[in-house]
Amino acid sequence: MKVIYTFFLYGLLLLIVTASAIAQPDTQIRGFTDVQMGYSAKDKKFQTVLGQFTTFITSEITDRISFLSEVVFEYSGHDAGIDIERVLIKYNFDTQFNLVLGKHHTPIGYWNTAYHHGAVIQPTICRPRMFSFEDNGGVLPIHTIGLMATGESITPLNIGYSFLVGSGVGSTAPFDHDDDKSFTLEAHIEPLEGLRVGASSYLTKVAKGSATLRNDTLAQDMNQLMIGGTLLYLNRLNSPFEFISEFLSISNKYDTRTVNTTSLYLYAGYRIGNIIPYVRYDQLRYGAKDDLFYNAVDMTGLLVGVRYEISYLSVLKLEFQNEKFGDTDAANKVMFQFAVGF
Amino acid sequence: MTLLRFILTILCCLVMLNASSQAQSLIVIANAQGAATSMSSTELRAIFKGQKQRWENGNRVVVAIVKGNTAIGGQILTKVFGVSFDDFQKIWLTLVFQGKAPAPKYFDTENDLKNFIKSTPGAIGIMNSTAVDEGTTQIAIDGKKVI
Repeated sequence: MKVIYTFFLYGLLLLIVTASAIAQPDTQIRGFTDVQMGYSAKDKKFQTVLGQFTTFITSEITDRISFLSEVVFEYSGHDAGIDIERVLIKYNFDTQFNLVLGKHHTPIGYWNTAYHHGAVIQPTICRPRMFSFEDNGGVLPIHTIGLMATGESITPLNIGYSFLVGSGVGSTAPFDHDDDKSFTLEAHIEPLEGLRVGASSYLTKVAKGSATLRNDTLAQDMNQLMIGGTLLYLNRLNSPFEFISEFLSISNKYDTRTVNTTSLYLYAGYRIGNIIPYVRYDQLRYGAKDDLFYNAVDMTGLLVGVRYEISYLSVLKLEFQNEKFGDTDAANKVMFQFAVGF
Repeated sequence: MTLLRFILTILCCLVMLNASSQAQSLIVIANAQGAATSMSSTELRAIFKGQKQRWENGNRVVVAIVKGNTAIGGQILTKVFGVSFDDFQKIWLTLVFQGKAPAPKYFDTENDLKNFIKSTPGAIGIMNSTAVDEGTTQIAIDGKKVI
């Protein structure tokens, strides 16, 4: 019944969007999806799974007002659920200053705003551990509803920034559950083409009684401060080498103590024509196993892979993944992904 | 006979050079309500990479381009920007996906491109110099009318 309801909703959405597209010639509809196959040495199982199915709609409503939405259909068991990941209304003053209202990918670091839900765009099969989605046990508030000021290409140093004031952790789309807001600030420079150095911070207060990532409620008020740094080099037109590194420190401050968690990833690839062999190291270290907010399971991961870019809308990826969670033995997987856009 | 061969060789070279220069005679054209009449090649690259979104008069920059799977389209991207059509589309897909810029307008022919630029404030495009006519402004790049 749920599946029928889901597909009815999808059909209705498609009808509305198609009608809008006919009425508004500047409306574009795109989509992204992927299929994965892999073998887990731990489970001794070979499986084929569907990745997220993403519909991406943009529209130039007026000369200065534009709209963007990203709706994802995700599979869970026998059901498919709909997640409205982004709904943004933007007013463009200039490249250096825009106001954007709606549900954003929180501008912490680089990966979260660069790669979103389209697997064809991102360089590896899965996201780094620090950028796991909230419903996959991620430590970051991947989405925030609020008002953002953002700009790019400021001065010859190509300074860019995003400042977002929004709902706090635990809020939902229709319900901002308390008065405490979140504040996210990201800034970066690109002194040379493809070379980017950035820093970001996130500050919020989570009230006692809020839902936690431990599937319980918070026993005390918590002030959360995140500070991160980014260093990357992506210049596909002039260099075969690509490198992305990000680091994040999360401080959960309670009445009685402060728990610090750190996470980082290092990605490097080398382009040979349309083939890019790459490697990525992931690490997540919780400051305390009994942190009141996080389900504290440390993670270490190493993956080695190769990516073949058939075109800008079709990419094949093959990876060997080694991941260790907590005190369990490290698990090996071989994963293959065919990601497309349309 | 040797002199004849020499003359024929020179003539052949001249014809080839002429054909080559004709194929690469590209110009930048824009709607009168938008771009200035001259700009640097750095600024042109910034425009076609989505880094400049407003002209001085406040009109939105509208990038127009002939599709890269046409002979002239591929030539434009390669000669002016040193990128393939696939690379160009990937750059713009990333920008559009991040909500940073609207997608360029793609056209099958230079005539379609020219008509769009004539009727769209803020539009700018690149085309073969033999196809220009009234109604558009030709932009000098680094002081040169022809790229």
